Amino acid sequence: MSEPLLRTVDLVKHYRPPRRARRGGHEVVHALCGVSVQVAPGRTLGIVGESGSGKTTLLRTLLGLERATAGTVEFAGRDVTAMRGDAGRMFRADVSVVFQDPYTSLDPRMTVSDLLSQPARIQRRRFPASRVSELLDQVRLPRVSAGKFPHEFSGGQRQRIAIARALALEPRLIVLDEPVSALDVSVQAEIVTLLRELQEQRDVSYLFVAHDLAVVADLSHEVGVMYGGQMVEHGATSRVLSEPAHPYTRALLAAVPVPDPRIERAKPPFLRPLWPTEDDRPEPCPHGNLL
Amino acid sequence: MATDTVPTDEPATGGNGRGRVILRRFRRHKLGVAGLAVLVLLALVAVVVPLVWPYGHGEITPDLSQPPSAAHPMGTDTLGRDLFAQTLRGLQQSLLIATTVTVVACLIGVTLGVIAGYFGRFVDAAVMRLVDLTLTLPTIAIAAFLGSVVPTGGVNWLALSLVLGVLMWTPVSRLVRGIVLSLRSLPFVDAARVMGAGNLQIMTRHLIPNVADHIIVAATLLFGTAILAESGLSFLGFGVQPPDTSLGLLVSNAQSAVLTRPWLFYFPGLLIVVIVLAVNYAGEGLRDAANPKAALANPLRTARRRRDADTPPDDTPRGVLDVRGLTVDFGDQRVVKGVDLHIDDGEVLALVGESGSGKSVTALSVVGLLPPDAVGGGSVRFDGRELTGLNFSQWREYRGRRIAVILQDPSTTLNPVLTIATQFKDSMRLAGPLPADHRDRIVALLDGVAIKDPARLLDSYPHQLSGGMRQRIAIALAMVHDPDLIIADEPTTALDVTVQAQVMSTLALARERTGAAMLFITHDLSLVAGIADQVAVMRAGEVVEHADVDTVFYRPRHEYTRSLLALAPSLALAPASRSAAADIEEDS
Repeated sequence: MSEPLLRTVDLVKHYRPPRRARRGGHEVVHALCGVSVQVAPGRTLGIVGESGSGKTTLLRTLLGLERATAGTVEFAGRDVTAMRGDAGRMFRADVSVVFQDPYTSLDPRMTVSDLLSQPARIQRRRFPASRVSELLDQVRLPRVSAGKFPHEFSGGQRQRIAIARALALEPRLIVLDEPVSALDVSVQAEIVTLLRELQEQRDVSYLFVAHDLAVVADLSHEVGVMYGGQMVEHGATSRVLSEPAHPYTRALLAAVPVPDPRIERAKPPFLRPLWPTEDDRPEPCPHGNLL
Repeated sequence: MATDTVPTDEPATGGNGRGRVILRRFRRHKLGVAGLAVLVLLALVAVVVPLVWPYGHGEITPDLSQPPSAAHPMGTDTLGRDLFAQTLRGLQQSLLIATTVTVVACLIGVTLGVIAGYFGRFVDAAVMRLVDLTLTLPTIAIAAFLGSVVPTGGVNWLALSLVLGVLMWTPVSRLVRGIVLSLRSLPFVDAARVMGAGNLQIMTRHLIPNVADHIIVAATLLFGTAILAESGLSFLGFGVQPPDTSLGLLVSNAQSAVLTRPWLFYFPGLLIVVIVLAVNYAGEGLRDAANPKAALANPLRTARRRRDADTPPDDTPRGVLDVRGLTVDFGDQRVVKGVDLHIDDGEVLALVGESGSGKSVTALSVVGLLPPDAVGGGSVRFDGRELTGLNFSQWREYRGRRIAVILQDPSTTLNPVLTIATQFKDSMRLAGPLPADHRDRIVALLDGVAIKDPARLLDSYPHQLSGGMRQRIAIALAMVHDPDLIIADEPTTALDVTVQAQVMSTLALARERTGAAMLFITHDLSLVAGIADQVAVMRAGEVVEHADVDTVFYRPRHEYTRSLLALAPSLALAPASRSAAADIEEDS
């Protein structure tokens, strides 16, 4: 494999709860316990896990929205953990993000053309007026959308606007945080198709995070499964789907509904979590308390 | 091509487009335009007319205490001063002072409020203590003190405005801080940060525009208060002093003469009312224009209506639920176009469709909960009885008792300030006095939705539980009165896949125990493969396919159903999930 575009090494994020909660017996929260991931140029890494698995913390930490407790984030071979200096500036222009909820990730007071020129404005780059139409074409929205506000669009269209904004500075990596979970099934498929086409055209890398393995599998070359702040399974998508090694991955696979009444009716009731069970619990954080 | 809306300058800015949009929206707000026109007119009058009016505001004429006449359109006071000239001077002073106070208070309030809300922690604590401190300052006492130290003749308007502004910024900063606190955690702020925006840029480009409409409302209220506060201070000797005057001072001086020389009171008083009203309407117009989402129509104007039902033929088979020719209109847009649905006793009907297909509105009409601006039509029969046209108290016999509803988001459907046990007890009281063994019944209900160790949960609050747990409690709550029909509206959309599987199993279990029929609404066809007996596929307000589950999945007739099936995100390697399911069967 070629040089990775993005690499995290043993990323750790521990939270100390507020003093009041600590007195009530709440310990330090181990949100990330040494997670190492790699995204190769032009490839997609999918990260799957339920709420509280640490997948969102991983994203926020590597995007610099949270400060890592330990470990490093490297982008194109340069350490960007602290997001300072030239490396940090370059990282900001080369990496963009699409959030889950297209209703809150677009500033409601900005028109579409404001939103699309926002990255350029912040980075003080040239942004020719024609670029707005170009971006709208790329995500297949009509050009007249430029003067409208986000609330005038449906959920799927708003997510297209968010993707267009993520494309604005021609980034090398797009971080996708549950980009389709808030959308209808049919719209999900359209967005996934759009993302795949954009990757083929522009050779951009994706870090795709979701709670639904079926959605991630569609787009990802590799999949990582997170639980309790740790990567419990990692490998090529086809291998993880066909020969899941970890019991939690198996539970995730079994939970995905299949559009086939016979298979669904044959499934045993899913009344308790399949994993962790009483005698098979995840390992505690190998890094101990770093706070 | 929307060339006029694309920013034409480089590097890109969006300010012009936005300003134009606000102006366009403001022009549509008639009252706002009228308010602004009145304000501009008054300001012009205050500046221009004194230059041409024959009497000065302090000039004493021989006409003492004259009622309004041609020479003195507002009459004169006891000293013979022309009231019109005085009112003009008062208008000048009041507008100037009130505007300056509002600007000063808003500047301080917005700056400190945004900083406190955005940075939080120590900064927030410091600003809030400053607010507390300012609130403890007794305005009257300070004014009286300052009034005793200033030279006779009063202070100039700027000093007065600054003092008032410094005393009046606190409500603005509290308001702004509160809104910014909720805004700063929204993803669009994170998005800007990921793009590399600095704190100042986030505050000025994102936070302040989003609190702008609230600031405008606060400012209009402040403006009115400032006019009154100025008159109070002037009365106490700090501020505008005779022979100079202000509207507030004119009114307070005239108080003793309301009965004998009413014109002295009414003209300046009326002017204050007109100014405050105009400011409020102009502010309302600006607020609506600054908030692109604000509806210009009054949502309360339309009442809940329904179209007379065409009496359906009475040859319908009974069943639990029978919906015939259901229509729902919003204005002249028909969103449900004649839907027929039928559910037999103990049967599960899945209603599948995308957002905007009308599936949720259909479900809401079944329980008579259409939004106020919707007009319903057609027939809804429950257990053979027509439900349309029931009044509120007649509905109570059905809602919650014979028809239970489970909604999408369990974090908003449970009351956050009541314990789980209290919510069950409230529901049980609908049927009469609370039974003595109610605690055991609640435990049994929670046990019925596969909650481990339910007794431990009774005294917890919803926020202490996970989303999946909350949804299971919502299911147990729906079962309290042993309903004949459960309406589940996307009950798993907000949940993780594994939790979704658990909630679906729980729902199936609870339904089997009570034998209730169910109307299950979802956008995800695969979700209902295991639970549904019948499936109705909805698109653009119409049911395009309504058949038993096997037909819909294995021999779909309508093309739309086929496309939904093809789009369902199932694992490309279905055998893997099948074998995973088999593994689990072996394990259990």
